[in-house]
Formats: sequence, structure tokens, C-alpha cells
Amino acid sequence: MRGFIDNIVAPLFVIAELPYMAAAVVGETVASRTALLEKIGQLEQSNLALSHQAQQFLALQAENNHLRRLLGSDARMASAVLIAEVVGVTPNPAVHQLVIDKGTEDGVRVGQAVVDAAGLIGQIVDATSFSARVLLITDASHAVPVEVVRNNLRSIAGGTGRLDGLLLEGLPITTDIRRGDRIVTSGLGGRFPRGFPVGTVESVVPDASRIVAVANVTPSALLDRTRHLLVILSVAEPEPP
Amino acid sequence: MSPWGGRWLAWITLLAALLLSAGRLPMDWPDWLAWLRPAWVLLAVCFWAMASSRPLGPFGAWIAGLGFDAMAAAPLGLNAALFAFAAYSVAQFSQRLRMYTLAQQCVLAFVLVLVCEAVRHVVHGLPAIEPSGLLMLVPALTSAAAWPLIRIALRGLCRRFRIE
Repeated sequence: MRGFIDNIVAPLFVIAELPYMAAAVVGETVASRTALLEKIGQLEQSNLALSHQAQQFLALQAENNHLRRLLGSDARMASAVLIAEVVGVTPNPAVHQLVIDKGTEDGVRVGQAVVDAAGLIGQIVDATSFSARVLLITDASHAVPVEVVRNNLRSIAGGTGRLDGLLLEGLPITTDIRRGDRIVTSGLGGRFPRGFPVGTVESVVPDASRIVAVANVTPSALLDRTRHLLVILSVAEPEPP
Repeated sequence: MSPWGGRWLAWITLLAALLLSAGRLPMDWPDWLAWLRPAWVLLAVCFWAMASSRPLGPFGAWIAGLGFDAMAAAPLGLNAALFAFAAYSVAQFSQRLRMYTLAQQCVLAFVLVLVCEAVRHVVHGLPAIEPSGLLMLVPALTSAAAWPLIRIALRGLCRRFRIE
């Protein structure tokens, strides 16, 4: 029933997005030659830096696979991804969901993780034929298993209902976590692939009992600005040794 | 014009209200501005429930609410029930409400939207994460402010298509 109504309502988001699409087209059309050349220059520099990183990544991946084979580990890495564009935002400000322009026809399924260039965005919670909904990690009903990069400390990052904050709750007061620590997905639960940036610890505040502390985390992803997202369609199994 | 003309117009305006609700703010605008969005669909439902030719009843409001539920990612039936309740309440007192002044109708719009927002807040469990809870006053206030616009626009359409 819900899927049927979602299919009917989905085009409304696309129609409502038309003014922004038109503005983007006009903006691209009337952009000056100087601005375009400047943008190309920036993209070339960025491409060079990313190519360099990709070369390092390939070498590290090969080394990592070799070491994992030695350890007999079955760790997974994200493989197939799908680029999607944001075509809508739920009108209810208390619910943090985005509507994207890819659906089940493109291979999108409920439960798939969604990331952007900077980090984890959320997960697919509803998919129709040609659109899908992404629940953001900051939604009050969302939680994601995470770990601290510095010491592999595991925790759960819960949404706060604010786009600029996540919470790690119930940390023992003696926990080794501090401002500036980078938080990534731990891969526990199998929903999110391991190692995607989730955020950075902004502050660690002990609660009134002085037994547990709460860490405030700033999300890495540009949750309210990003237009293009990556849906992680599948997680590849490592090659057998 | 036949009653069907009124119904078609009511549904077209409801669709337009849904479109206004679906539209997002520019990405570089602050998030809190989203709270200022008036309850367009509810206001349109109230207007048509108040009309003497009754082009939209509680059932029509319920259908529109289902569409809004799907759009707003709300539990299916929540806004449908709220809109049906609003349409029924307004229709029951429509003769009296039509005699109200614009200011009195604005107060009515404020109360209706506030009640609906309060129910939504309870259902979404917002009291647990929003200590103030006063945010629900914002759409109620902006809806009350938007009511004269809705009334003028829809009355103009009614005159244009000769609907009572």
C-alpha cells in the first residue's frame, strides 16, 4: 500500500525540484569562460591529487589483501556503487530523509548504505521503481555502529534530530576518546561497510552521574548540501587465497 | 458549473498544495527555515471543507492526507486521519465559519494546525528530543498568516470557475 502511494507521490518531488534543475542549467549555460577555465583548473588539480591517492590506495589494497589472506580474515570492501541525485527532501523538518532519483529499477534496495565524497550519509529505507528514500544518520530514529580510528573503540552513533550532530552515548567515563578523534563505521551488523568516515568528535561531556560520558560528533558528510550521492549496491567478497 | 467542476478544482489545488509542501529550500539556507513552511495542504482542505458546494469531504481529505503521509515519511494514516478530522470539523460548522471575519478564520487556522502539529509531535516522539516543544507553534503561526493568501487565491479561482 505504502509503495503504491510512494510511486504516485514520487513525481511530485521531481516536479518540485524543476526550478532548481532549471537554475542549475541556466547557471551552467551562462557561466563565463573565465569561471569555466578556473573550474577546469581546479578539477584538474583535484584529479591529479586523487589519481596519486588512488595509486597509493591500489598498492595498500594489494598489501592489505595479502595480509588478510595471511590472517585468514574475511573482511569486506565496498565494490559496486551507483551515483544518484537528490531530488527532494521530506517536508517534515523533524524527519531527516532525502529522496533520490534512483529506484529498484536501478538496483537500489532497502538497507543499502549511502555515502557522499566526505562520508556516510545514511541508508535506503524505502525504494520505489524510480526513486528511493534515504534516512540520514542524523535522524533521531537512526543509529550506526562505529569505531574510533585511533584505538578501534567501538560504539553506536545515534542521530540527534539536528543535521550538525551525532551522539555517542553511554561511554564509560574512563573511555579513551577525545576531541578530534575520527569516527568510522565499524561494519558490525553488516548494514554498513567498514571504514566509511562518519564524523569527528567535537566534545566529550560527562553526564550528571559522572559514571558515563556522551561524545558529540560532527558528521563528515555534507548532509544538507550534497546533491550527488553514492549508493553502495554490493559489498564484494575478498578473493579466495 | 457542475459539482464535478468544483471537485476537479479542489483536487488540482490540493495537488498544488502538495507540490508546495514537497518543494525544498535552497541547500545553503539554514535548516530552521523549514519550520516556517505553512501547512498548505491542511489549509486547502479547510478551505474546501468550508465551501458551501462541498467539493471535498472528509474522505477526500483522507486521500490527500495519505499522499502527504507518503511524502512526509510519516506513519501511513497519521496525516490522513488528521486531515479527515479537520475537514469533518470544519464542514460541521461551515455555515458559521463562513460568517467569521478574516482574523477569526486566521485564529481557527492557527488552532487547527497547532492541534495537528501537537499530534504529529506526540506520534513522532519529538518531546523526547526537543525539550522546548514550542517549534510546533511556528508552522501554526505561519499557516495562520498564510490563510488570507489561500482564501483570496482559492476564492478567486472559485469565482473564475463559478463555484459557490
